[in-house]
Amino acid sequence: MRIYTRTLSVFRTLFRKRALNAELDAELASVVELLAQEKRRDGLSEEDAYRAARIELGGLEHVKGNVRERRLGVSLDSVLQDVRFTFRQFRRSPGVTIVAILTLVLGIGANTAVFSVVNGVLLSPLPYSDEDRVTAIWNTHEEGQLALSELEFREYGAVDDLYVHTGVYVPGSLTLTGTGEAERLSTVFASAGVVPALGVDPIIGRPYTAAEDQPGAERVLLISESLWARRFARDPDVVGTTLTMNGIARVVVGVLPSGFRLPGGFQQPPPDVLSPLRLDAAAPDPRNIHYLNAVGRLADGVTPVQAAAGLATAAARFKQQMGDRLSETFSATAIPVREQVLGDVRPALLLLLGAVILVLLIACVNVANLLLARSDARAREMAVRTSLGAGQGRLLRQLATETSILALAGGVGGLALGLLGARALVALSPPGVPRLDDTTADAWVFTFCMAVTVMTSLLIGLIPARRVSRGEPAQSLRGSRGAVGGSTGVRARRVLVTAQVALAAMLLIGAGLLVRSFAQVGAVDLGFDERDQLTFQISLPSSEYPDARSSRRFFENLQRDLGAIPGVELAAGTSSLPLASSIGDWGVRIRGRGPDGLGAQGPGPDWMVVTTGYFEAMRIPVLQGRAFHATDVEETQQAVVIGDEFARRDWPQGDALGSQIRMTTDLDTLWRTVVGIVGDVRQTSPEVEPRPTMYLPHAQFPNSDPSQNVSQLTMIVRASASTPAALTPAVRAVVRDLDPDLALASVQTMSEVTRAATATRSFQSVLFGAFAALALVLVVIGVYGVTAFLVTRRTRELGIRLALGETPGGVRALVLREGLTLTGLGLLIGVTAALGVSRLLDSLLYGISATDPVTFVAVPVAIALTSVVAAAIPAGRAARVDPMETLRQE
Amino acid sequence: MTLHPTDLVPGTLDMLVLKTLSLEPMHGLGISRRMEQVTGGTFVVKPGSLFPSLHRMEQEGWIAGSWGKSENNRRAKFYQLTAAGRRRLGDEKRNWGHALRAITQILEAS
Repeated sequence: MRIYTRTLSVFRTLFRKRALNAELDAELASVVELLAQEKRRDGLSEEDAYRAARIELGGLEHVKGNVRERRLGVSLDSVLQDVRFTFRQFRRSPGVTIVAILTLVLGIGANTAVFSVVNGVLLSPLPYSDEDRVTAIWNTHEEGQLALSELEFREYGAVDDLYVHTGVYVPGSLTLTGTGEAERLSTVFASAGVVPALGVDPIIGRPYTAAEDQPGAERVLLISESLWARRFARDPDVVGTTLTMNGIARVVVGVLPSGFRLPGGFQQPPPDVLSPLRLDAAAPDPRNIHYLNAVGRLADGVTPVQAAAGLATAAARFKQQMGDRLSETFSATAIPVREQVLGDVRPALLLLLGAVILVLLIACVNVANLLLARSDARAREMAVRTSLGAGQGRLLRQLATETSILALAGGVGGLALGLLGARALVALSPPGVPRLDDTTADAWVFTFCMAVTVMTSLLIGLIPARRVSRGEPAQSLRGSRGAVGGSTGVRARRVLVTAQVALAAMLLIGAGLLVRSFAQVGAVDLGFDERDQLTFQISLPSSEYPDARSSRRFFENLQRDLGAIPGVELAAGTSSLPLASSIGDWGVRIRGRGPDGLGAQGPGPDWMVVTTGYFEAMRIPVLQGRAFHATDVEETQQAVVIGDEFARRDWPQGDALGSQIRMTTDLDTLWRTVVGIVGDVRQTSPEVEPRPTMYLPHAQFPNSDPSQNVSQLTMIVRASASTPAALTPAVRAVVRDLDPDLALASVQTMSEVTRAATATRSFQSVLFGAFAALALVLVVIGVYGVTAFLVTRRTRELGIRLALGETPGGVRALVLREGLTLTGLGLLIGVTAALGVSRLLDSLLYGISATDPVTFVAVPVAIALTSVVAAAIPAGRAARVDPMETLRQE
Repeated sequence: MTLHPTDLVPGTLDMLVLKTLSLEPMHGLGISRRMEQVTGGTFVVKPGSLFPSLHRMEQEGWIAGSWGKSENNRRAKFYQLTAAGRRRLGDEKRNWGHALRAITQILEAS
């Protein structure tokens, strides 16, 4: 009740002021009447009675003032007055206001957008319970991390007390048939320990058990929430139903929660299917190929560091068992899952955040400069108000109101721009940034935006406020033009512009380093020619194509039919498309060398299986010997083609051609003759040096066990015209004619593949470049502004100089020198700081050092030249000053 | 000893106005005159210094103003104590009593 009364009163004080005042006027008038009546009764004349009445009342305006001052909510009212005053100010100089607000909107918007992404990608939790208890498990060796082999998983998994659950997984695919059109489903083959290790509960059904993860067990699988919605309309009865995938019936046991991904799979969309890996835990001699990604859930009380130490011990023991077959540096380690998922992307994103914060700082400097300019124009107004008794507090509050309103407008606009910008970032960003689709506007984004806005308002208000609190009204009132602004104004401006140039120099150097790296990557020779090829993946189900012979026949037919499409020059296939598919290494022996073949030569070469025509289709040059022929078949000499790097590393005398090598596996037991040496190819990334590589002919691999076969190939169709994408319908028709149950996957041109491989870098360069450009524009405005200000302030002095015989050229040089001194100082500070911090960029650079001389020279020169242009305009105006005119004005 | 007109004890104006209004509704000038009369001319409250207090108390909801006719048939704004004002008057009187006793004790301590 009381609250209600008071609120109503405050409301009246604020918004019904006119009515309240009218009522007060009426009341006081009636009191005067009553008083006058008394006086008349005492015998005063009409006129005297009124005068005496007013005197007794004590001055009408004075009384009204006292009443108004005691009203409820008057302090709030004075804030409203400040606000109204501010808006009047803004209306008086709309240009300045709009420029200031737009600058802030850009600065705050860029920050909000980038923070939204950082928030979604780096800060929000992973979809695992107690994610700090989950680690990835890796082998390590001199070249970095190495996936686990089955034997190693057995060894490490057996280490007591480190983990409560461990599991391994391999990405792959399955083709769903029998329910409408055949669909290729991205699948992760995972051992039974993976789901409990990650701490994920199926939303319906259950995870599969260790018993169901055995060879020979009934086939089961888990499906994703999105597949459940897409193909089964969220029918809860899907659990227990049977799906046919790759020609084999499998029972659905559960549905995974939406957004479920494996630690290694955050760059891709979530998998559709999780299927048992069915490793044979009892196999006497499991395959020694490093292809398993491993995760584990730490036992209670075990830290990731302890786990890493335990794994290193286990790896050392394992190495001893294996004799000398593993390299010196071979070990194992545990990596916290958060680090595993986000470690690579963190530096780039944080750097981006740093860059936009720099942009915002530069923007704030400009706005502070604008406000400073206006506070100069208003120096007289402030002086008058001070002399009339306005307290400094009141003036400061007025100023704070002004900057707060500016910042608030910038904040609101920035939030809107930021949310749009975040969406644009997500839409434009290339694949490769994990969890980008987790970018949403949550409470953290709003909080961040608000914090940035408050910080902005403090930054832009600080310097003008210092001016007010130092103000000496008498000086301003004395009022010659020269005195306005005072020396503090000039100094403040100089500091601001210097700081701005320094910040911009840092930002531009960072951007310059990234752009230079991007150019270096673009200039890398990939080892193949990416023009004119269309590529797609085909995976054969083992039910229909049970052995090597059947799959070879299919791919030979496919190759023949694709080649017969009009406009196709030739077609070929490979198990590892450069820059698209993963590739693994395999130990080999070289005939005639020690019993252990390569011995200490280093890790085994990468290997891949290719069909005839592969080198021609990719235009990989054959340096020595020959490519594979149609005559390289099962019954003939077993052939292998090796990459130049492999030849040079292991045959330094150049005698690789004709020598024989054998893979250390039961699958491929015959000696193969090196029939050709081809140019090196950057297989995994344009930024990774070519590794030793060997190419095995599809028609001959594997050569021991006919039940094993390479059932998944990426086909490459080279078009004679330059529009490979136009071949897609014809290609689909060819596949359908051969086997209608097969699905094409990853249909893309080779140029798309290479573009995707550098997309992250190009995106980074574009973003940094854009922010740097923005910074440069702001700096131009800043330098122009301060130089113009100095010219205006010194018009009289310049006029006198001209009158005394200084040439216009001399005046121009004087002003230019003034502007450039500031830029030079700023550059010096900025370049020094950049030298100090550019090491942070190291992990993002390619082909140049963090102190790349080209960048460190080009950027300061560019900024200096830009500043010359910015300062030249006011300098030109200074040179045209008419001495007589200026002198007359005084 | 003659009594001279004097200023009010600071902070007591609200209480005195509320007390005056507890007898009957009155207009501003009337309140001023009544206080002068009751104190035998000791307390003189200029009508002008009454209004800030009146308006503030009206906003607080302790008194309610309404227009009416004065004794001489002139328009005047009359104030009337509300229930909240009556409670307020009670509080203020109690506080004043406490303060007065304390002051007296200090003055008479020897």
